[in-house]
Amino acid sequence: MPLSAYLTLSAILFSIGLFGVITRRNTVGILLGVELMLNAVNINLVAFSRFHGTEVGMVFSLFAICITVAEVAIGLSLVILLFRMRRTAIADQIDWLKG
Amino acid sequence: MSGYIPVLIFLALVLAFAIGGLVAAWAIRPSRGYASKAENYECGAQPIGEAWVQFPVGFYLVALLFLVFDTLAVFLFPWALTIRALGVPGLVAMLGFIAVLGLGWLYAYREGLLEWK
Amino acid sequence: MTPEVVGFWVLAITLVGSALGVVLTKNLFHSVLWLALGLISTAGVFLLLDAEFLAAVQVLLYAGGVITVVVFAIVVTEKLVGEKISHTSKRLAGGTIVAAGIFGMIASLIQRAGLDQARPEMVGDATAAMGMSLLTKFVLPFELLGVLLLAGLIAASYFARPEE
Repeated sequence: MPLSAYLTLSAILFSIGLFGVITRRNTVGILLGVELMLNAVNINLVAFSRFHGTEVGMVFSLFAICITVAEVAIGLSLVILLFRMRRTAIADQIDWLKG
Repeated sequence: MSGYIPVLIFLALVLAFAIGGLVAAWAIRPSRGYASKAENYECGAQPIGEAWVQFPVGFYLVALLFLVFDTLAVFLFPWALTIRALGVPGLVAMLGFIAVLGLGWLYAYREGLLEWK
Repeated sequence: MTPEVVGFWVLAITLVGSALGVVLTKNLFHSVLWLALGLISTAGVFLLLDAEFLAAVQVLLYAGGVITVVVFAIVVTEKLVGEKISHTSKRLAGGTIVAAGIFGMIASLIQRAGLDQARPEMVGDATAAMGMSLLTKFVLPFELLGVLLLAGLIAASYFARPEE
């Protein structure tokens, strides 16, 4: 398969993830959309790395995966904290900053 | 890529076994349903309350620790492949990484995250 | 049809289907399970791209770790007595327009970029090459990643702990 096939697949995944981020109302659902988008980015990195014959993109993708792990851990901790304080996981109802 | 052909054959066999078994059972078995068959434990105690309960948050804390040390284990693998070529500097770098994450273990131990309350 | 082409199409269909499942299903648990399928298919795409180690990492860290943590976060927060975990969507039209617009832009860029270089032959072991550059060229980001994970662990466990 040519490089553009992998890039198009990753673009489709990215758009679906973006759609999820925009439309979901539950915070965990939004986080799942972000996961899809990051996953698409990783496919892009590995595809470019393979077609350029260097391992740097794969190392970058490894870092991206591990940073995603930290991001998910903290994001879900914040969801748990918000749930404990506000009894809700709906993003629209978390509007404390609104005056 | 051709090295994965046995894996694919194995995968196809696994799927065929699982789906084939279910389909064959569905085609052969008689279907006579009655109310007590649909209970959770057909000849056991009646369950009390709902299965959807809120779990204690300790599950999440243990999962967090698992996630961090899972990441540590991932990085040990490429290091182990190159340990001879890299020598002492690689060892020092990896020990630094393990020491930093060891501080996380120390934190969890001191704060009592590992104790099940 | 070479095995790579067949594998790519099978994985692409699974991946797009499971991604649509993640964003469209009404049950949060089902969303997480669709995400698990999508992440494992991504590991398959990594295998097609000769990145065996990243495929293993994908299964170990994403499908094994992240999915576990998301499931635990759901069962810890949602108190559902006899009620399905619904998570509804809103602004469907706006989301579709934005997502389709972004996809159109990226696709037209890919079309115009002229990415028709041939795939180079695989030289040596990609995992060993990754280990070499991880511990020489990228040793500082590597150590900083350790610090980030430490900070993440401490912050996440501080946020999630119940007050005594």
